Amino acid sequence: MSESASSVCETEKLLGVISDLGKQMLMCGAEINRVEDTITRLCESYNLRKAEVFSITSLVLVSAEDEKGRTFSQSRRVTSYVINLYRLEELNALSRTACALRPSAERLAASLDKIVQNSHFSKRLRVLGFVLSVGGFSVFFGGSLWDALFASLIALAIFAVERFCTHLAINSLLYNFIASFLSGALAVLCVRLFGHGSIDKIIIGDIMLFIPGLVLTNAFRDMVNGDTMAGFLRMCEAIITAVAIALGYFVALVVTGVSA
Amino acid sequence: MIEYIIQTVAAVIGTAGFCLIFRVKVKRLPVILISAAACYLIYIAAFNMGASVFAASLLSSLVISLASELFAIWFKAPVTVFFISSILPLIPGAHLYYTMDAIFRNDIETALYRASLTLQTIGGIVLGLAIISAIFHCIRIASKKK
Repeated sequence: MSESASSVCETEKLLGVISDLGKQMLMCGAEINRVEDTITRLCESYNLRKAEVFSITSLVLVSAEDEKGRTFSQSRRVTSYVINLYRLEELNALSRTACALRPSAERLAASLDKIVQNSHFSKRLRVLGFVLSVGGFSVFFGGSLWDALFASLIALAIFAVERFCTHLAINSLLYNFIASFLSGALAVLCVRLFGHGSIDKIIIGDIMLFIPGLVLTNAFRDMVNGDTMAGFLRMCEAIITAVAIALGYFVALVVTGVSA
Repeated sequence: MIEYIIQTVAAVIGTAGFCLIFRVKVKRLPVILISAAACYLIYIAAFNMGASVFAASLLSSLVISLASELFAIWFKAPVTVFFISSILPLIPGAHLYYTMDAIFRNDIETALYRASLTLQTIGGIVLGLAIISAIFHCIRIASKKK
């Protein structure tokens, strides 16, 4: 291969890996600001000029020029994200090192793969997380220990639903509806069966698992950072999620005869 | 008094749970849990001294954002890691639920009231974060120019 052709290949691969890194960051919950900033810095370090990055929560677009003025562009689509702060830290560290040491595209890709493979969730810890967070916040919002107990048991059910939905690749909106319907129905069941606890506090504890409070906050945060479009889209996502959850609970309460 | 202790402990346990869900690195936990406790305590202290929900959230968010930025520099990790986890006690989960509940019971007055509380809290959080981020952004730019 001539030198020119091989350098084109290398630059293409490089931009590809950089875009992959940006995509992975988006997928583990990074702010738009951070993703665009990281990609821009990486491009600059590797001497790719006129780096133009655009990102919303579901798409990254990158274009840059090499020294000879040839333009390269990449796009990555993101269909879902799960907050994984361990992976975010590792990706951040990788991009810092890459900016300083400038490894080849292959080595960068290998490091990226290694991070993605080594930062999966441990099921046991996640279940424990579900139980603790639901129990803790149920009491925090005024519930009794009974409420915390029931909420934690229901959290186990929600975890099962989550695994079921992920396995069948059910979209997140439907998952939210199913999970909130189930947790609403189980909350009423628990209170009726055992005669302790209040339905409200149990539901509030469980709802913390999928309520888009965090998504809404991130939406406004993106807007304040100047990424108005991305923030607006996230806000719409938060509102639609909230409606799906509300419907789930409403239907559960109607079906179990609590609400008119 | 005992109420506040129970709530703080509950907030810390809840935050610890979410740290597990978000897969936060274990070595970050002590710092984050202390921040989460502080987040709640500052909010409730400001609220009890007569501040509105917005002002109390703003104050708490300012302190937590500042702490998160400092931790980020000290531990060389992204600010998000510290901020998202520590601000959890403030996130309006309950208010959002009550808003939805009121809408479905056709109680528009309560719905608007709860919705306003939700927005006040989020507004306070975001404004606090925005102010501190802007300050640190300027500091970084200024220190680069030197």
